[in-house]
Amino acid sequence: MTGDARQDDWAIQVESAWLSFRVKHDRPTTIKEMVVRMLRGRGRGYSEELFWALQDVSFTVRRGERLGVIGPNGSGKTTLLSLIANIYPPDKGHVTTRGRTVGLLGLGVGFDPEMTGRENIYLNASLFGLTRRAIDERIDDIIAFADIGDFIDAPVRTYSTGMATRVGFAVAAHIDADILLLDEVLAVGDAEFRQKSMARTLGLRDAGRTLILVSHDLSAVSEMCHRAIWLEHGRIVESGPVDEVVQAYERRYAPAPA
Amino acid sequence: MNSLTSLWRYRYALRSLVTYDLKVRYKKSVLGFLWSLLNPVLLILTYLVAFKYIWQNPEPNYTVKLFTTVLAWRFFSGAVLDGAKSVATRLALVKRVSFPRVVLPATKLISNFVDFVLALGVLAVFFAAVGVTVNWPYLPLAVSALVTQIVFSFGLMLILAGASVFYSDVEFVANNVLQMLFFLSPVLYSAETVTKHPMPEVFKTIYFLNPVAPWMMAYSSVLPEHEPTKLLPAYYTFFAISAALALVTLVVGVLVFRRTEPSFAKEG
Repeated sequence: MTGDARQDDWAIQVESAWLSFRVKHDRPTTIKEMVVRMLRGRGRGYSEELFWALQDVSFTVRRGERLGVIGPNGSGKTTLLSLIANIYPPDKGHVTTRGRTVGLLGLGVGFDPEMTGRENIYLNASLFGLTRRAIDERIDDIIAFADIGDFIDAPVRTYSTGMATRVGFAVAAHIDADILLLDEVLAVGDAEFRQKSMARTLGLRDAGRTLILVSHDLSAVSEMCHRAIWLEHGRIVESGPVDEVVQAYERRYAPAPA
Repeated sequence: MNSLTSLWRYRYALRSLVTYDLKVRYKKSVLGFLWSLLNPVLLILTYLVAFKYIWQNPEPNYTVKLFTTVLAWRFFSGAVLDGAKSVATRLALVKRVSFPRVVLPATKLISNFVDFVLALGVLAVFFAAVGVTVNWPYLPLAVSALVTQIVFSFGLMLILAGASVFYSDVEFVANNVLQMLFFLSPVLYSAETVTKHPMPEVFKTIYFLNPVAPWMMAYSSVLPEHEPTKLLPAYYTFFAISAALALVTLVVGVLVFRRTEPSFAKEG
């Protein structure tokens, strides 16, 4: 992107990625319905509409770079992170990542509400590819970082959103990810935890780790990221140095009083 | 078969999920595991009252046979039904973490297997206490049947787990089919009841094409007077068909699962 020397130094490469969701109007949702339709001779026909959540999105993130993703609700930010986290493949185009990618997508982080915080830490960390021993080594640090007291051995359903997010972030931050994807995670915790998470996240850069931060908090994006992309209806409207993109975005959505 | 090799890479995740699964299964009461055995034991006692005392089933070693086949059946139906729900109930995780989804049905297979082995252990104690003689030469056959059952179950679990994400009544349909299969397999009665029945031969052939039938006969064969070839001369042919069917089901299951896997997070 910048010079030829850096060309091969990328961590994430998204090449004209397209992603659609099916909007089904009358798709049969049960086997019973399907059989009834077949008996009536209507076959499997049902109308279907595609909603293009991402359209022709391309960008490259260098190793160690921190990229902010901004845009209004429903512009495709979370979908983009899910794509990079390999939750689903793109319909067209390519998404390539180098190194272990850990995504904190949304607030729930996929915890099982009936399992305790500790059990969920083991489950999540092992799904991110950590061995039992590696988790045993980190568990005390993770619990200390989450800092939710005795709740760690209570079922996650008894947690507040903030507590669940703290545990989720604590796991993600201790996995030695090469690429960290954060979706609105910093917005939930209290000021103290926010400071701690930001420090932790920024500290990761020193180890050559790459970060993508999705947030509506523009000051956090400006503070933490080098570059930003602005998404609108699944397309990149603008991308470049973080200050330029954030300023353009602010002009569009919150015109500064004259 | 890369979905099966990825199970090895994710063995730690598999272990966490299995451990948790068993914990939920057993921790609901102080008696834990023993309490979970209460259901099959009560069920078997009821069958005994109904079929041995009221109906006066003359089958030799009927009590022990019933424990063997009912536990094996419970492993089959439990694994298949749990497997069918395995992905649909974990969509929150599937939507947020990228991992081989085959871990989810595999968890259910393993936890049901562990449960079965533990129950089998209790059964062995029971065997020893009543002093049943074991027909050891048939043990390898019973083990082969168990392997076949596991292969078939897992194939079915993969197919149903994928289908459940798209159709909400898969478990309901599976439940009903399993219920029919239970009565149309030699679980509660001997295969001899069928072979000696005056029904047309075609029906008998159809009956034994049911892959569950040869397994149940194999499990009963470790008890005296249940030699499968004496009950059904073409037994090994039917066993071979069942094994072939199990393999085909597993291959189809892996293919179906691999095809539907990328859309679990999108469609669910």
